[in-house]
Amino acid sequence: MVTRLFKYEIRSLGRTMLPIWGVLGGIALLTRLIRFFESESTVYGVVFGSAVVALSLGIIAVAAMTVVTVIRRFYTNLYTAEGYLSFTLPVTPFQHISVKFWTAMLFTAASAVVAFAAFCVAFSGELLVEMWHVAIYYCRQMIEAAGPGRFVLYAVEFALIALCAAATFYLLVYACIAVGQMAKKNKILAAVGVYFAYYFATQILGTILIVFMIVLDGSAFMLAINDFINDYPNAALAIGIGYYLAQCAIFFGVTNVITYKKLNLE
Amino acid sequence: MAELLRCEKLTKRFGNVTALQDVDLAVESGRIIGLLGPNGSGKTTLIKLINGLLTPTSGRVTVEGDAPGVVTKSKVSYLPDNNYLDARMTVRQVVELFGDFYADFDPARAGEMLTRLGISPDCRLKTLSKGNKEKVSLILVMSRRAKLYVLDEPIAGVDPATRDHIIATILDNYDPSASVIISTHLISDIEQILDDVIFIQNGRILLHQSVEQIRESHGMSVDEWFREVFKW
Repeated sequence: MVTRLFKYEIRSLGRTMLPIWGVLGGIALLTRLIRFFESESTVYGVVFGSAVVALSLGIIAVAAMTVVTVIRRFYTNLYTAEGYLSFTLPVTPFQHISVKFWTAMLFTAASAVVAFAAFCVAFSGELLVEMWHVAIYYCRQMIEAAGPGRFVLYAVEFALIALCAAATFYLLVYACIAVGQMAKKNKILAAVGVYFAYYFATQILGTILIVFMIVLDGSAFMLAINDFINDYPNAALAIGIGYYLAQCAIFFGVTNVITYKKLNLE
Repeated sequence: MAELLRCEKLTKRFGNVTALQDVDLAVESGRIIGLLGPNGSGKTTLIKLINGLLTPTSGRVTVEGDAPGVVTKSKVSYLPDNNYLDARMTVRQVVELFGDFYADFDPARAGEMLTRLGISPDCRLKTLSKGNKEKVSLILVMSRRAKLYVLDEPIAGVDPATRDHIIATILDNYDPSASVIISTHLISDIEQILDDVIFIQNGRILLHQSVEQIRESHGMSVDEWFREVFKW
């Protein structure tokens, strides 16, 4: 059943995302074509500049559309009229949420790959080789600073942090939507309200915690944290990943329990 | 006849509003049951509880002894009272979807009914008329070999010819060993196919009797008796 859910999830998101990726690919190809006519002329400068602006906007649009499409799919497929079908299929809410989450992650990664590929296509040739050299130069500097073994660890940890941050964001939004759907009306507004309430609550709690620690033992606590990050950066990143994962588990759990126990398809 | 559906002290509240109150109900297999009541009487709430789309405030509902869940969803074929299919999908895709998820779905039967109606499998749902959308939904639901069919207002908002077609589709396709619950307030149109009726008002079951019993004891049709009971 999970495989079948994946099939329909990928089809549905693909129906929206494939044309958007196609447009970005088109802009990238156009930018590359324009570069074949490279010259010092003002006309070339204006046309190429416009193409680069279009490409940048295209990449931003792909990022924004990925997030919007993924969230919209979650909401409409589970908590609007489409939910009448979704929740009468012989699958559990856990399977629905899991499949939607992993497909969201897959499409987010795919959008990142498409954006990177579009960039490479647009600037392929000498320009890309030059950029590649610059990237290698900075990588070498970082390897020298971190030590060769630790650099790989840093790279893995940063990649994991990025993935975990995306996962936490999606699962937080899922949880907010699940809480919002319990409202009698204005369910989307309720979900947005829950999101901001959570955001402000965590900010306020964090500030209170810091102030409390400063009051308790001056700046020693903050300095200790600072020292720990400087002395054990890999461990600090690992703690960050753990923190994200814990949040993911909580948000997933909240969404799952609400969908099991408090589904409200009025 | 085996018991298929049971509700025990089933209650559902939305805030201060009680949509269903202490509903006790038992439905046996092999019956066509009309769930009849005025607007806002609790028909759709009861149907949603049977399908696990709402959770009861108290009490319980079971289908062949199981609470709504994966097991009951493979036994119950449900037609909601609104368009619930992704309008961007083609008819062929929704038929494929039902075939993928429901082991008891018969795609050949669905294809046959669609052909008879002249609905192309390549049509997108959003391009179909309201009547044809409802027919496609009903075809999907009735192409399952389910134990219980729950149809919420299947004949509301369509012309009389379509209404007749829908009723014929239900009769031609349901398995006689299964039960069909049809919620409606258009009683005269479906009275001739009903075995039993359930009258519901303000979230309470007023009556659960066979059509024969009503005719014998009150000397009037279900439609006339309904008008009598729910007279303003």
